[in-house]
Amino acid sequence: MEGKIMFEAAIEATSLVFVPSRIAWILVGTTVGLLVGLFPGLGGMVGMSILLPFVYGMDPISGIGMLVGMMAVTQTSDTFSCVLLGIPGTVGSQATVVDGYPLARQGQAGRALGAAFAASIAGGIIGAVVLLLIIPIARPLVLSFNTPDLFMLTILGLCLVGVLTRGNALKGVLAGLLGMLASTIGMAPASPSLRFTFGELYLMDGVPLAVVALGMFAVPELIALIATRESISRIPISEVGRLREGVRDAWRHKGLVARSGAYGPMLGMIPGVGGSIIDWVVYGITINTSKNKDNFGKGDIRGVIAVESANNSKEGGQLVPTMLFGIPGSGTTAIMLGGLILMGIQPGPAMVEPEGLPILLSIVWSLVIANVFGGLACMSMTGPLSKLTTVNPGKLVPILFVLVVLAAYQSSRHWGDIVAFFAFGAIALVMREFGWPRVPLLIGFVLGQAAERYLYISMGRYGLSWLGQTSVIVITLLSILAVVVAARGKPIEAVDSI
Amino acid sequence: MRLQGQSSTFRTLVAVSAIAVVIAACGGAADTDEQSVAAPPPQQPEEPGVEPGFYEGTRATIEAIVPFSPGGGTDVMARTITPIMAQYLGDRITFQVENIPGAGSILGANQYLTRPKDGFHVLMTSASTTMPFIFGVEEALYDYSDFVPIIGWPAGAIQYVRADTGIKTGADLLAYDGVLNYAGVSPTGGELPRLLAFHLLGVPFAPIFGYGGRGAIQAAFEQGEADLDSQTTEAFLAGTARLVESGDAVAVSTHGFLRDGKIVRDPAFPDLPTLPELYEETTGRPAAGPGWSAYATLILALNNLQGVMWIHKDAPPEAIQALQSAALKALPELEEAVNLPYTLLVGDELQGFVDGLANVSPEVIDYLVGFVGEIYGEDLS
Repeated sequence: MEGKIMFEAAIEATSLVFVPSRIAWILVGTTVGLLVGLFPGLGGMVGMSILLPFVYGMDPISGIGMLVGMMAVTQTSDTFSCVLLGIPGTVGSQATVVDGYPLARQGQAGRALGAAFAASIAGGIIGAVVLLLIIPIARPLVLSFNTPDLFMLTILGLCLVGVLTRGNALKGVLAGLLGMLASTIGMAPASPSLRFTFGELYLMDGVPLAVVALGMFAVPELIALIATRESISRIPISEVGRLREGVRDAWRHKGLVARSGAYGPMLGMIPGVGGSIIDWVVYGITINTSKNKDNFGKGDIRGVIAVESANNSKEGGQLVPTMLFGIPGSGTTAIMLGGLILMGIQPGPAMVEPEGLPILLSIVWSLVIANVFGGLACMSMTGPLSKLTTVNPGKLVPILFVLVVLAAYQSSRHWGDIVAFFAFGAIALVMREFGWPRVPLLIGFVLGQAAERYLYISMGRYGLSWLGQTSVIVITLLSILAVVVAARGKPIEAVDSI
Repeated sequence: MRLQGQSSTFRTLVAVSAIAVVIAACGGAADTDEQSVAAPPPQQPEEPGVEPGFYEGTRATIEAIVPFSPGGGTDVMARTITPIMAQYLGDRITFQVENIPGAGSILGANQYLTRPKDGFHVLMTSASTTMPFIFGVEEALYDYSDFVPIIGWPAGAIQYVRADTGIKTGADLLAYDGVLNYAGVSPTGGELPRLLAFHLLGVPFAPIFGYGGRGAIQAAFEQGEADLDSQTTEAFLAGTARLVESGDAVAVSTHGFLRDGKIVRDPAFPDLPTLPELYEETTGRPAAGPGWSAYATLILALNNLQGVMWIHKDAPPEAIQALQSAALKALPELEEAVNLPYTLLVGDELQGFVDGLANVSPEVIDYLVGFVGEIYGEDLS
C-alpha cells in the first residue's frame, strides 16, 4: 500500500469525519458507552445491542462512528466500578480491581482514577495509531497465523498469566484446568455432541462468560463488604486534587503506558484470544518486567496504569480481524459486524483497498475522538462518584447486588443465568476462603473453548506434523520461557482479588 | 450535586455535549435517510386499492422473534424487511425485532409458541431451526405445520477450490491426485448437502470441522489450510469472488435449487453445473436413488428456504391474510432492499416449498441419520 494513497485516504477520511453531525454521532455512541460501562457487569455487548436497531439505513461513517465510539469507552468508564467498588465493570476488567481497589481502600480513589483515565486516553490513541500503521500489512499478518499457531498462542496466554499465581502454582494450574473443564459445558465445537448439559436447553451454549466473571468476582466482594460492615474507604475521601496526582503518575510512567498500549492491539489482533485475557497478560508482563514488585496487588499504581492503557488500546487491534475477515474477536465485535452489514458495509479484503480505506480510517479517528472525550468526561465525574466509597455498605451492597444480578441476567434473559451466577459465586466464595486463585479459572474458561477448537482443527488437518512448524516451535519456546521466568521469581503473596 | 460546585471542565463538557446533541438532532446532509425500527414509518400516499386490512388504523407493534443473536444473517434480514413490510400494513404499525438466541435457535422458536396468537407475533427462522424440526429433535417443540409462512428467502451455495490445486472444472475434482482439505463448521449443519454430494460423487476430500464461522473458514482458505470450500451466494459475491477474479480460486459447482422435483442450476451462477449434474456427467448415471433424494430434501430445507417469516396458524385469519398480501405488495421494494440475486418467495410458491418441508419422508430421514452416523460418527437425533 503506497504511502501516498494512504495519506490521501487519511485526508479524505479526516474531511469525512470532522463534520459536526458525524462527530455528534460519535459522541452519542460515547455517551452510551460511558453509561454502559458505569453499571457493573454490563459491557460492550449490551451497548451494541442497544445501538443496533438505530443503525439500520444510517450513513456508514456516522453509524460506524457511533458504534466504535461506544466500544471504545466502555473500557474507560468501567474503571469506576473496578476501583470504587471492587467489582469488574466489564468482563475483562478484573485486572484493574487488583491494584485499583486497594488504592481506593487507602483513600486514594481519586489518584487511581486519574491515573487510569489518563492511561486510558493515551492507550486508546496508541491503539488507533497502531491500527493505522498496521493497515498496510494487516491482511498478510493475520493470514500468517494458521490454526496451530493460534492454538499455541492460547497456550502462551495461559502461561503468561501463570505468573500471577507464583505463590500458589499448583492451585493456579488446577484452577485453570477447572476453568477449562467448565468451558466444555455445552456443545462441542465440531460436532453436535452435548457435554455436561444434563438435559438443560440453557446449557447447550455453555455458560455465558459474563455470568462466570460476575459470579466469580462480584459475589465474594459484595459479601466481604457487607461482612466487614465498613465502608470501602477507611480513610475519609480526599479531594479531586488527587485526580491530578494520578494524571502525573501516568505521565511519570509514560514508558509503561506506551509499552502496554503497544501490547494491546497486538494481542487484540489474534482472533479468538479475546479481550478478556489481554488485561491479565499485560498485568503479568508488567509484574515480570518491573523492578520493585512487592506492592503489586496491594495498590501499586503501575498495575492500574498498565492494564488501563492496554485495555483501551486493544479495541483498535480487535477491529483488524473483524473488519478484514469478518472474524469477530468478541461478542461485541460480533454484533458490530451485523451493524456494519445493516449499513451496507461488507467486511473483507475490500476494506484495505482504496475504496474501503476511508471507512477504516474513519474508524481510527472515531477511536481517537471517543477515547479523548470519554476519558475527559470520566475525569469530570470522578469527584461525585468517588463519594460512593464512603457510603455505608448496608445501603450500597443491596443495590449493587441487584444491579449485578440484572447484569448477569442480561446474558440470555433466562433463569439459568441467575442460577449459574449464584453457582459460580458459591464456588468463588469457597475458593477465596481457602486461598485458591480465581483468575486462572476465568482464564481457563475463556481460553478453553478457543484452545479446544484450534487443537481439534490442528490435529484433524495436520495430524502431528504441526508440532514441527517453525512458528509453533517459536511460540512454544516463548511459553516455556514465560513459565520459567514465573517459576524462578520470588513468590508473591496471595492476593485476595486474584 | 449542584452544577455550581463542579469543575469548569465538567461544565464545559456539558455545554459541548448539549451543543453536539442539538447539532445531531438538526442533522447534517449525511443522515437524511436514517431509519429506525422504533420510529414511525415515513408517510406514504395510500396505495390505491388497499382494502382496510387487519392492522389498518391500529397503532401497534408486531413482535418479530429472531432466535439468534443480534448481527447474524437472519437478524439482519429481519431488520431489513420488517420496516418495509410495516409500511404496507398500516400507517401506525411497527415491527420490533426481539432476539432470543440459544440452543442453535431452538430456544427462540420454542418461545414463540408461548406468544399470544393474536396476529401481533411472528417468527423468523433459518436453516438451523428447520433441521431440528425435520430430524425430530426432542427439544424442538415447534412444528412447521402449525405455522403459516408469510415470506421466505433462498440462499444459493457455490463451491470453489484454490487455483494451486490445478483443478479447473467440476469434473477435475474427481480426478484430483491427492486429498482436498475442506474447512467446515459442523457435519450436521448447512454443510450437509455438499458433504453428501461429495461422498456420492466420490470426491477425494478430507473435511475438517470446528471452524468458528465464515470468517475463519475464509482465512483458512486463503492461507492454504483449506483447498476446497463453499459459501452462500451472498458471502461469495462479497468476498471470495475477488479471489476468483484474481485467479487465486476457481469456482466449480453450486448446490442448485429444487424446482418441480428436480435440481436446477443456480440462477446466480448459470454457467456452473450443480452437484447432481456433475454426478451425471462423470458417471453417466442419473442422479437418483436414496442418496440423491436425500440431497434434494436438504436443498429444499437449506437452500430453497434459507429463511422464513412465519405466523402461527391460530392467529386471526384476517391478520394472516393482511400479512401475506402486504408481503406480496412490498415485494419489489423488499427485493431491492435485500439485494439478493434471487426472488423472494411469497404465496403459493412459498407454501409449496413449506409443504415439502413438513412432509419429509421417513426413508430420507433414516438415510441421513445413517449417513451422518456412519461417516462422521455423529448422532443426529
